[in-house]
Amino acid sequence: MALSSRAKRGDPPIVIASEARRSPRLLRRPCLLAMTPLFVIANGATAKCGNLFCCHPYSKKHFHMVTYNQDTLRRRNTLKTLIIIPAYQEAKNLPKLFKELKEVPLDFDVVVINDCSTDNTEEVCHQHGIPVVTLPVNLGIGGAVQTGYRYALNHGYDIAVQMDGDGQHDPKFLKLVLSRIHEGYHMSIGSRFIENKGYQSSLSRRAGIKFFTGLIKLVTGQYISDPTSGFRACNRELIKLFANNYPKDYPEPETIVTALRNKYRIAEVPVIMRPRQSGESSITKNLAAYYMIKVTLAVIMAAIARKNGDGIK
Amino acid sequence: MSSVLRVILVIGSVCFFIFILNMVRTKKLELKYALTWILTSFSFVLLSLFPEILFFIAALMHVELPVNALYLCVIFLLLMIVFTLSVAVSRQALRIKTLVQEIGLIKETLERMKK
Repeated sequence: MALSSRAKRGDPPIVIASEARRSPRLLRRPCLLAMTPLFVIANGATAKCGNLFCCHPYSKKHFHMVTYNQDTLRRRNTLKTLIIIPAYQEAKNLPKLFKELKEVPLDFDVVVINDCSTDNTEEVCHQHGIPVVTLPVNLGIGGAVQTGYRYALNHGYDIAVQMDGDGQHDPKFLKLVLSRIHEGYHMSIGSRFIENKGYQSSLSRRAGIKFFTGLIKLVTGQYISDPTSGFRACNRELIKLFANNYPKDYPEPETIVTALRNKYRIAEVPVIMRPRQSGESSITKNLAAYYMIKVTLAVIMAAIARKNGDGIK
Repeated sequence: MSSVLRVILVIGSVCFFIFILNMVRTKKLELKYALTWILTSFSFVLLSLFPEILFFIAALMHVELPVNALYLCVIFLLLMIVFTLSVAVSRQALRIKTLVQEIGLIKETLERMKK
């Protein structure tokens, strides 16, 4: 498509006004797309090229409008998407998640990374016909997720989505999380704290999360409302990066900083999370202090790390 | 220094040296790490045989008591060894992690091919 802000005759841009109304916070931060020049058209009115957020000319309501040219749309339909589900002792929760995933009208594959569970997580996956990678040794959440990224890289996936196996993340929001990747962002995070709906976690945890939001803002300059969210999608470039280099435990805030440091662009979308259905969080009360210190250190280290650093060789 | 103490030290350090050599011989210790220990135990033997070396080193370092010079050197050496080990452990952990992941992935591919 030509590098102009107008459509060529006979090549009408396709307008997609996204389903969700944006929160005011996001609206105040118009972001530019770095992909091919896009046409933003609302009911016939043309807005500034490349500006994602604009006003609906009639209703004055804020809409999120992006136009895709044919190429983008074609690419979007052929993008191979993988859902990575790290699972440790999740035999009880997985069947429900699989059922919900089947109801999502999107084209994607699923892989479960069974982190050496002692329950019958593996059998449950086999019963439901879901590919499962069983690790012979327990590696922790980071190692399991990284296995997923390696799987995605090996099988040539364009997009990888991380979802917890404990039922906290609702597959309903997959479409919304993926939409930002389709728009050209490298990473898209499902955040509980944009619309503040659903499970908000305990007060002390929220305080901890706010601390990391502040810390990430300090070292990268970007506001990430839910840096600990494990509901996230990323594109091929980040799949490659994460397949080679991913922290071992408590990886979420650290990877955000690594991605931002390497000039990848991150977007957040509002999602509603549920309390975990059964099992326990990996961060218990006794470990909270350790978690805070470790992650703080990891975030600072990631901020001063060598770009595209591969970690220990 | 009393002669009894000296004999004890010599016997102790020689035993240590032989023990290290035996570990290398039976391949329980990788040569890469064994070198550090061989040198360390050998210098113990030397020091117990000729404590005058220590007096000389202390004088060189302007340390009043030779024993303090000894402690300083030994602590420094130990710190270096421990740090090297930490580096080695980190590297091993990363390698093991990668291997475990690869094994998991390969097993999955294998199962898929069987079907």
